[in-house]
Amino acid sequence: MPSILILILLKGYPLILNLWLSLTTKHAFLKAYEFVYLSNYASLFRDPLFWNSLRNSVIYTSSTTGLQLLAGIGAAVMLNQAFVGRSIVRSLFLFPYVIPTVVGAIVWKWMLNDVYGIINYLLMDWRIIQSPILITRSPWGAMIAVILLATWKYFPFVTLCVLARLQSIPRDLYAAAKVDGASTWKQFIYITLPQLKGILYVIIILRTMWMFNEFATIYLMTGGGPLGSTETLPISIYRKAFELFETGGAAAIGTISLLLLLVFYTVYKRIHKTSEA
Amino acid sequence: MREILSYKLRKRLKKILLYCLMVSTTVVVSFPLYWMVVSSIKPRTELFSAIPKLLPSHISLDSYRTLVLTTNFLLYLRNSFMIAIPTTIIVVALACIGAYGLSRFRFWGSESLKHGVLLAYLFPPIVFIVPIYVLMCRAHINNTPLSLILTYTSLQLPLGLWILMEFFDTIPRDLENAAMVDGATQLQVFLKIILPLSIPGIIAVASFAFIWSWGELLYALVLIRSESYKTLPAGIAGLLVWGATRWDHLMAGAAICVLPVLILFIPVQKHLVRGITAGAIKE
Repeated sequence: MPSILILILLKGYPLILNLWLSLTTKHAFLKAYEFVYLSNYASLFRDPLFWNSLRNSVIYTSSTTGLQLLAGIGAAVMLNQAFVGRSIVRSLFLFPYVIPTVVGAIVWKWMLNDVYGIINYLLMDWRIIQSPILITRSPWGAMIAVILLATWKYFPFVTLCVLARLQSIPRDLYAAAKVDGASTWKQFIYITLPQLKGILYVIIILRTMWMFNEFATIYLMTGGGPLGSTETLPISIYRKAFELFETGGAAAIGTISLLLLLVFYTVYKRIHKTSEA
Repeated sequence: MREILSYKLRKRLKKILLYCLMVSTTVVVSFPLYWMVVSSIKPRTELFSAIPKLLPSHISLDSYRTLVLTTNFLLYLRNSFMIAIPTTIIVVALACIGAYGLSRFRFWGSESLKHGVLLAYLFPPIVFIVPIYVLMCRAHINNTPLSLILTYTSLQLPLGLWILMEFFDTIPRDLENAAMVDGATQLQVFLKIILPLSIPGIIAVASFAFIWSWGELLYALVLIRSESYKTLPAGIAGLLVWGATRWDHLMAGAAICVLPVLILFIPVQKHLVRGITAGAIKE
């Protein structure tokens, strides 16, 4: 099958090349290189910027995945009820996911603008803050901004998957619970959530992986943030490879990212297995 | 009597609460897009005022005019089409053939290949950026549209294969067997029976491939350096990151960038959903 061959070629080969690159000092444009084995990795571990990126990655990934789950499940539960205009609302909810990331970043940056942005205006108007938050100046403001953008953009994925699962839960379960006197909240906790365990397991893995490696939203929003406060591992890879021209070091970061995700996947799978048994 | 009343009342209240929740969350979620469209048609004075207004006092297309006239925007637009359309066509073609093979023929390693396909889709693109860049340089096709088309194809192919594989699996083999007994060749079976039945799946793959290629940023930034080949996301990102930000241009540009996706989105929605949830939901 020719398509399979292309796939293997275009996916497998780069992986191996990446590994090989990480063991060299190849410059992005020049042809010369030398084998330095693991010294790229060693210098990374000694570099505080690397640990900063790692820390930012963890903060960003966990926060935005968590928020996406909250918003996604909430929206799915809401959309599962029948009401007038439900299909229109469902389409509207899907929009953030399908629009190009650039568009989302541009409009959010505009809304968060310190002089003309509507968010700062409203926050000050409602006396929540005194002076506008500049996401290009305050580190935590920048982190919140990128988390917000990612949550808004990607929560529909959670909603779609959860909604599909919700719609296959037999209504009798709820009817029986209601007869037994369960409140809506109790119904949610004891019927809905257990039914969702399967799909949530998949969703958490997927979203964590994809958010851990997310590049566009952060790059466009803050470019790595004021003084690297929103620089995550993907941003580091980009900057190392294409601003500092150290493809070897960048490839090393890439390999480390992959390994971390593999570890996460294994650990998570183990936890899931034991909770199932 | 009292119990019935309060039950009805509670039900009413819940319904009202639901509607309130629905309206408020819809507003919050859709507001950014609304704001973008409104900002793009506001006259400059209103756009750059300290007090933002929800509705423009009059519609002004100045932002669009200056965007098209003073930047390379139309060039970026053309480039994006030039890359997204071939990618979509190639992905659909290869995915149809590949998925048919994976679905219909049992050969050594076909099961693990199927899982490999899903795995390949799950690998996020950033991991490959460095080696692919190096590869493209070596092949001397970096900075050309071809490099993007190849890369996008390889990134979208796994998903396409997966969706169509699931689709083909649901088409009963008896149909094909009956046709072959009647003397049809394998190719005829493929073209005349399988394909027409798989139109929803094909639409899903095509729309997903197009929308994704249209909005892709990382590879567009890295693989294309010269202005004349830049795609829309890369071009707009350039406006955003360097120099004094012309927000009026950006709003207009973003609105235009979103347009094809919106136009495609409404008729194709159901199929898109299938594409998005593929791999996550195993029926």
